[in-house]
Amino acid sequence: MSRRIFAVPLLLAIVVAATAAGGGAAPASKQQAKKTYTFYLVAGIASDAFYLTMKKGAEAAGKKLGVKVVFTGSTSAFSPNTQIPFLNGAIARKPDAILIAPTDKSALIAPIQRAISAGIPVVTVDTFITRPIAVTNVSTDNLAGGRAAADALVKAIGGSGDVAAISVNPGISTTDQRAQGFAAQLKKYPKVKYLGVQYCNDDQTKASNQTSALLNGHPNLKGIFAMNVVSGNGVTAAVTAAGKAGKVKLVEFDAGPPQVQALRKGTIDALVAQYPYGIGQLGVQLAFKYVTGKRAGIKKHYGTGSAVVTRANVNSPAIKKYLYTP
Amino acid sequence: MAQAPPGEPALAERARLERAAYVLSRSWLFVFLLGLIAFFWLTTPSGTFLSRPNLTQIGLSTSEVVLLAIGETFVIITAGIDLSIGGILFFSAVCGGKTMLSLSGTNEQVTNGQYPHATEAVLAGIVVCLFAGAFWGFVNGTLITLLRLPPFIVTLGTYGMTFGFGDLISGGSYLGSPVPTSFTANFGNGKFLGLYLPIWLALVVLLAAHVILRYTRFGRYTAAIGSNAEGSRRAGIPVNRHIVKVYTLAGFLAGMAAVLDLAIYTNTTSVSHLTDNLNAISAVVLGGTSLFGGVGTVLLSAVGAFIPTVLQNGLVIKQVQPFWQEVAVGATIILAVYLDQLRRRRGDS
Amino acid sequence: MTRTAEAPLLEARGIQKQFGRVVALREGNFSLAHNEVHAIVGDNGAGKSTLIKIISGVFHADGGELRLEGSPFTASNPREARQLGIETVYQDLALAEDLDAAANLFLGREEYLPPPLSWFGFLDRKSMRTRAQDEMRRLKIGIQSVDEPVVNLSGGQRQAIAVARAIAWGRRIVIMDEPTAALGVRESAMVLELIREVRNHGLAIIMVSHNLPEVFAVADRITVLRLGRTITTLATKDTSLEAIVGMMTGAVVAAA
Repeated sequence: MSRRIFAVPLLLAIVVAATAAGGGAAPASKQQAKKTYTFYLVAGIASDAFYLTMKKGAEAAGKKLGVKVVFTGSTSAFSPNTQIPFLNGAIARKPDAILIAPTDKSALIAPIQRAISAGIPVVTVDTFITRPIAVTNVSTDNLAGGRAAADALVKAIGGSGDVAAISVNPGISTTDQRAQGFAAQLKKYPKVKYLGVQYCNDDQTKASNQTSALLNGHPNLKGIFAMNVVSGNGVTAAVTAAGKAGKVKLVEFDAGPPQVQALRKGTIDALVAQYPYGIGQLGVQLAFKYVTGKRAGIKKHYGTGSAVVTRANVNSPAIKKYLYTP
Repeated sequence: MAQAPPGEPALAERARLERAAYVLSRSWLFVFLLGLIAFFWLTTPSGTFLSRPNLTQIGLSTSEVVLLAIGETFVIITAGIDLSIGGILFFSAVCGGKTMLSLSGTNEQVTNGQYPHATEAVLAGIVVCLFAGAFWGFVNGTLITLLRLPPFIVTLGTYGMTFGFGDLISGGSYLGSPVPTSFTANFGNGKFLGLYLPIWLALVVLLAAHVILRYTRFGRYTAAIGSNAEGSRRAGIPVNRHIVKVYTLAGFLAGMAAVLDLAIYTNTTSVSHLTDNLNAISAVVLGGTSLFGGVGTVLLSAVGAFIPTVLQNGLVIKQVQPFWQEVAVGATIILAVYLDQLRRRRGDS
Repeated sequence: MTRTAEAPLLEARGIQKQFGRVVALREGNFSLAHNEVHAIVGDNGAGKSTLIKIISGVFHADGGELRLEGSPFTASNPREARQLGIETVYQDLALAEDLDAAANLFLGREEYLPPPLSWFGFLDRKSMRTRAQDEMRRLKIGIQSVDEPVVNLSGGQRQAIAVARAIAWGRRIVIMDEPTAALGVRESAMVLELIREVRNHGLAIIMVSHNLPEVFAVADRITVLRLGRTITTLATKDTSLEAIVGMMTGAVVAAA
C-alpha cells in the first residue's frame, strides 16, 4: 500500500507538469507599455509537418510584431469533429485574432461566425470556407500548384502515357483546386491520357490500395500525382510493392522531411512545395494589420507561391526555404 | 440456524444508508469532473473557461458521444461490447445525408445551396438514419446470438463493414454538398432556453435511458443477463431475444447520433468517427460500468464522456501545446479511475 | 412415517441416457413420495446429476418412463418442468450476483406496476421487496437487507436465496443438486434447517448429495445409484452410513 500511495502524487505531477509545460499563460495578462497581442493558430491537424512549419513562420512574424502565437489543433485527425472543439477553446480564450485552417468548407462556417460575433477577427489559412466572413484568406495558389505538378509529371514520364491522381476528400478546397489545375494543364498534352482522380480520404492504406488497383488495371500507367503527404505515402508504398519504383513516376504535393528524403533517394520524382512558412508569416502580418486598425487595403485573398522541387534543385538556397521544417 | 434478526427495521434503515453511501462513492467521478471544472475556472482568465458560451459549446460537442455512450452502457452491462458504433454512425449519416440531399432538390439546385424541399427531405433523412442504425444494431445482435461468437469479434467485423459500405455509398468520403441549411441552422445550431437543441436531445435520451435501466424489466433483464446469462436463461428470461434488442438499441442510438452529426457538422466523413467506439467505451468504463457486465449506470457514463472534452477545452484555453495535451488527457483518465478505485477499496474494507 | 402405501408423487422407471459414446444412465429407477426428503447418492459418474436433469427438463431421456401423480410426463425444457411444479436449485445456484435478493427471487417472474405503466415494463420494486422480505422471514432466513447485491452475501445466504426462490415458486417438487457442496459447517447447518422447513411447507424434495452425514441428518429415504443403475432405495432409518457406502462402491451387493 505504501508504494501505491506514491502513484497518486506522481500522476498528479504528470498532469500538472503537462499543463504547465505546455506554456500556460499567466492568468491576468497585464502588460507594460507596449501591448502584446495574442493570436491563436488552429491547425487542420497539429501533427502534420505542413502546419508545424506554418507555426514557425507565424511565430517568427509574431516575434517581430510583438504578437504571441498560440498553436493548437487536433493531433489525431483532419476533420471538423476534431477541429471544432479546439476552435471553441480558442474562442473562449478571447484572443485578439484567430488564424485557422478550416477542415471543411461548410462545417466551419457557423463556428467561425461565432468567433466573429464574439469580436474576434478570423483569418483563414491554407483552406477556406465558402462564406466570405473571414478577414482574409492566405493560401497557396493551388490551381497554379496543380498546373506546375502537371508540367513536372509530364516531363518526368517523357511526354506520353497514362497518368492518374490521388486526392484526399472532395470537400477540401486546397486539394480540389490542385486537382482542377492538374486536369486543366494536362489538356495541353495530347499524348498524355488522364485516368481521373480518386479520393483516399486521407487514409494511407486506402491510397495504397487504390494505386495497386490502378497499376493492375492500366499497364500503360506512367505517372501518378499525389495531392498530399498521406496519399503520397500510400502511392509510394504501392508502387514499390509492385516493383515499379522508378518505372512509374511520382509527383507529390508538400515537401516535408520524409518527402525530401524520398526525393533524394529517387522514389519520388518531383515535389510541389507549398510555402507554409510564408503562409504563417503573412497570415500573422495581415491579422496584426487588422487588429491595429489598418484595415484598408486588405484583400480578400492572398496567394502564396509554390515551387517544384527536383533532385536537381533540392539543395539550392532558393528552393531550400520552401522545404518544411517541423 | 438463523433466527429473525434483532430490531429488523433499524437494521434495514442502516442498510439503506449504506447503500446510498455506496452509490455516492461511485459518483466520485462526478466529483472529479467538478474538481476538473473548478481547476480550470481558477487557472484561466476570468470569463474564459467558465463562461456560458464556452460551456454550451462543450455540451454541444459532447452530445454525440453521450448518445453513443448510453447505447454502449446497455451493451457492456450485458457483458458484451460494441466496437462498431462509430461505423454505424458513419453509415447512418451517409445514408441519411444522401437521402436529405437527393430529396431536397435537383442536383443543380443543391450544389448551388438551394433546398426547395428541405423539410420533407430532412424528415425522411432522419428516419433513414434511425432505421439504418437500428438495422446494423440488429445485425450485430443476431450474429452474436446466432453464431455464438464473442461480441468483440462480431462487432470488429461490422466495424469494417459499416465503414466500408459507408465509403462505398458516399463514393470516397464527404457528401457532395452540405445538408440543408435550414436543418443545420434550426436544429444543429438551434437553441431552446439557452441550450442547444442537440444537448436537449441528449439529456432527454439520457433521462429515459436511466429510467429504463433502473425501473423497467428491460433494464433488469439487461443486468441479469450480464450478471449470469445461463442463470437468466434457466429463470425463463428470453436471453437471446433480449441481447438482440440491446444491440439494436445501441445501433438506434448511433443512428440518432448520426442525425446530430449531420445537424452540427453539416456533412460527414469516416475519419471523424474511426475512434468513436473508443471514446464511447472509455466514457462507459470511466463511469464505473464493469466490463464483466451486470453493473452500470448511464448517468455516470455521461459524466465519463465529459471528462476528456472538458479537459481538452481547458487545456486549449490554458494554451497548452497539442502534444502535451495528449499526455495530460491520458494521465487524467488513469488518475480518475485510480481515485475511484481507492474510494471503492476503502469503502469495501 | 411410512409413505410407501400412498401412490408416489413422481416415478421414474428404466430411464436411459447416453451422451455420444458415454452411457450415463442404463437403468434409472426412482420413486418420490409426497412431502418427503429423498436423497439420491452415488459415486462420481453414477448418473445422479443426469437423472435429476432429466426430471427437471434440462435433458431428454433416451428411454424409460416418467410419471407425475400417476400420469406420464415429459418436460422438454426447464420452463415446462416449472409449469408442472418442479423447481430446481442448481449446483451453481444460477443467481444473478449483481442483483439483489428481491430481484433474484423474482427473476423471470417479475411483478409490474399497474397499467399503463405495465405496458412499458415498469417493475413494482416496492412490492417485490416487501414480498421478498416476507418470504425470507417465513423461511427464517436471516439477511440484513434484500437490497444488497447478492455477491456481497455469504455462500450460505446465497444458497438460502436460491432455495427460497425454488420454494416460493415450487408447487410440488424442489430438486437440490449438492446443496451444501460449497459451504462451511455453520452454513451447511443453515441449509439443512431450510430443507426441513421446506418439507414442513408441504413440498417434496429430491436432494443429490455427496455428503452422507448430511443425508442421514435430513433425508427420509435414500436411493443409491452406481454406474448408471439404481441399486436400491431404502428408508434412512433402516440402513447405516457404512452400508450405503458399501453399496455405492459395490463392495456390498444389495438385496433387490
